[in-house]
Amino acid sequence: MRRLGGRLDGIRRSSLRGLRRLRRVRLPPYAKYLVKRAVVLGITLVVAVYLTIVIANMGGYIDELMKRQIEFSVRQRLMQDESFQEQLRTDPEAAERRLQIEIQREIVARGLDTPFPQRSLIYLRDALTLDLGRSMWIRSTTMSQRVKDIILERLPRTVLLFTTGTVVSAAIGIYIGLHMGRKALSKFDRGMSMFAIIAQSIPPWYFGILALLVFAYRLGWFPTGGFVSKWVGVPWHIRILDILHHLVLPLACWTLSSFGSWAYLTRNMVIHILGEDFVMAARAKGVPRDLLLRRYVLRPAAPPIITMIALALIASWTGAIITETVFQWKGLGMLYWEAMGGEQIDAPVVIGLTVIYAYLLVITVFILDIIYGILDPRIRAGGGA
Amino acid sequence: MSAPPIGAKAAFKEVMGTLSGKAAFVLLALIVGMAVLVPIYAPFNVLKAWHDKTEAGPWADNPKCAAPIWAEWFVGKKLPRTIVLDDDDFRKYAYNITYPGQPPLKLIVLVAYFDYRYDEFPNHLNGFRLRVEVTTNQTACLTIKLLRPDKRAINLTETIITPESPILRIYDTDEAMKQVSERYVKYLAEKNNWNLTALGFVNMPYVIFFAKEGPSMLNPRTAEVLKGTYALYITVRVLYDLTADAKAKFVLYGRVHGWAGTDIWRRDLLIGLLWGAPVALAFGIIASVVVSLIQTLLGVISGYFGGKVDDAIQRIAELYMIIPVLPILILVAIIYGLTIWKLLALVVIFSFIGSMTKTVRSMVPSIKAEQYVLAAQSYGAGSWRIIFKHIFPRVLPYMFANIALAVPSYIFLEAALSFLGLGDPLLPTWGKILGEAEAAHAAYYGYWWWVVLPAACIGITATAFALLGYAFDKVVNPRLREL
Repeated sequence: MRRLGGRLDGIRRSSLRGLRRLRRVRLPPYAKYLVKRAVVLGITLVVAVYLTIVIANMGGYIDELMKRQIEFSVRQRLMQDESFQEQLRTDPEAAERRLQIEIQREIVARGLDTPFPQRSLIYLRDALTLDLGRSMWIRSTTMSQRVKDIILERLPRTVLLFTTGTVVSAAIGIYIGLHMGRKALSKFDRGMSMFAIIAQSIPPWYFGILALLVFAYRLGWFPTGGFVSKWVGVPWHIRILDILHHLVLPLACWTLSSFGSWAYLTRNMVIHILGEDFVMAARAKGVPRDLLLRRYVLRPAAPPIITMIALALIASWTGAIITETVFQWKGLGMLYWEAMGGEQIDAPVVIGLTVIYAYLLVITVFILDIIYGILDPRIRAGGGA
Repeated sequence: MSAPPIGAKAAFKEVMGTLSGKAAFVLLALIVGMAVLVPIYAPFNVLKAWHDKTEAGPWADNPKCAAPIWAEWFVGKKLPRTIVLDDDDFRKYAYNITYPGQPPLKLIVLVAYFDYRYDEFPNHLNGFRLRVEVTTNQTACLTIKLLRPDKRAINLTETIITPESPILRIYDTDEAMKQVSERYVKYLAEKNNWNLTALGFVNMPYVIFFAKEGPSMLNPRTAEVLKGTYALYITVRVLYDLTADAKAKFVLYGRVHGWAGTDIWRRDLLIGLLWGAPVALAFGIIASVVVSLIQTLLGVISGYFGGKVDDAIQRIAELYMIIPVLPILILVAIIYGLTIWKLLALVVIFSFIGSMTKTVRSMVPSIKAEQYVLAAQSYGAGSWRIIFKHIFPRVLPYMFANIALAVPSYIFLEAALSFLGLGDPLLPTWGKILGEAEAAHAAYYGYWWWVVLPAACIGITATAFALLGYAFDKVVNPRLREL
């Protein structure tokens, strides 16, 4: 978390030389800052997606798959054509030639005959415009093979688990951190610090494996995985309870693994802020302890905490593959794994997901920038960025 | 690189003075101890055998999915060990019987005794295995009997052996053994007037053969073990060939094995767990040290030179934040396959700019402004000399803390990829064992040791380094200690 926080600060401070021109345009400083950030992030997004495409296509692997797919679909289409069937009976060689011509035409139409550097730009354009194409074999529950449909179907589940998880762990972590900081070096603080450091270094899937073993398989208190047990013909309140029941273990594991960093960072921040002069002054004035914490400590601590929340969201969206796999939670991470785990890699789904991840990250960072602007008057005035 | 002015030694001493430092040291000693045991308990040839998952492979004498021996401390019962009766354990009696005018007969009797005084029946997945090999050019007649302590004898088989297939293999899971046990139970039922359907007869040869006689033996839940000395009695009769010979091997699989149990392929998990220690330590430490070193160096460069260099490094840092590293790693692993070294290279490529770059970059300007650096500059020292001799040593303690704190993340990364089945194909790692357990539904079947032990190994190692990093952090960031 600290690592990501560090990276983010770097982005905020940096400036793009080419964008200096923007200063001539008369925009309010805050808008200018946002435009600048949007452009920087946009360029980064393009580069990141392009890099992913290049890596995923290395060795022409994806292309080979696509060519094979084209061959298959063309053959299927022609087989249903009566004139082709006729031709196949009378003159098989001509039929084969016709098939090859059709395949070649399709390959050319998709731009697969062009060299890779050129083709990668086509992929990039498709990816960036969210023209994600059709999957190879994965289908949504409505049997749609459009990658967009498949992803949109899974997205709410990932958001349900990991947004809730982030909020819960942040609330618990910050609360514990505040108390640790207030009673720094007490037994509670020392014990909690050590626990927090250890817990935050352990990923949620690790807790998940052990929690499933104990609470699901041995004790049978919770389901052993999945999102719902019964959906059709069940009243809505039972559905919600069912989902909550399934949510408990993954949520608990996610919280256990991430509350530590919140607690430890909040603690260090509180200790730091408690030593500041203005807190001393407030204390000398006789401000009650709770008010002191709320108004004089929490408020200056808000920007870093919001950074942490946003970055935790980012981390959760990218790092949820294994946690979702362990809990059989059919969200985006699990979809990723399904797309890669079959006999054939479902390349369009894999690339589509990577693009979605990249978009989610960029959007999160941009929202963060907006919030920074709101919270930090220096940025609004045009001095901070 | 010269010694840092503060002194790495002093820092280490201080770290060892803290409680978390001491705890980290104890846990680390444990893991290093495991790594040291590897050449003694599981040298390279054992590692080769590790990947042999065939039924007749090197692990054939181990029970399937047996718990660790110490599991019986919890259940309060004496759980069966594996009993192996080899060629030497069988007493062999050979007779040449010749009558004038009659074909010569070779009679070989193999007898082996074994004590079975455990509170549980043999392994439920595979109770026993018997292998009889007859060397002759004639057809041999073979009978095998199991003699029980209650003086009953169970005819396991009566068969002939031809020179073309001189080896007879019997498993308790064979259909033939089920018929044997059913016949035996039916005989007892007729004698004692038991109603088999009313009593709910479940035909489990490994239970029936070793159960106390009575209606309770019909169900594995109620059956009690008949403790005592059993005997295996094998007779081989061959006509016309007085040179015939026979040898037998009997393995009665137990429910506990070794200190770490076994998996579904009968492998001794202790070997895999021990091997996981050096792999995890080496991977975690090398990845962490290399990445931290590069990050620190780039931070120093970024902070020292500023300007375009700084800008470029910041751009890359931004890019790295957007790239979804784990999905890309998985993709690369699936398409191209990963060895531990490839993974290491990828990790370095995807994280050579990170938290340390940022932290160090913010520290460098103040160090650069210090008088001894100015002095060095004034006597004409070059930038690189100043960086390596004067600035780098100053940020070294921070790097140590970062190295220790980063080790768990790399260990877990490797474990995660191995868990998904994408790890190094040759090395047994803790993550791989966990992944195999998951794939074999170990948690569902209750093979807890298969999940808990590798998980514990990963957990202990991660905890050790997290504690070490925490202790270091406290030493190098004194602000966190005081109010």
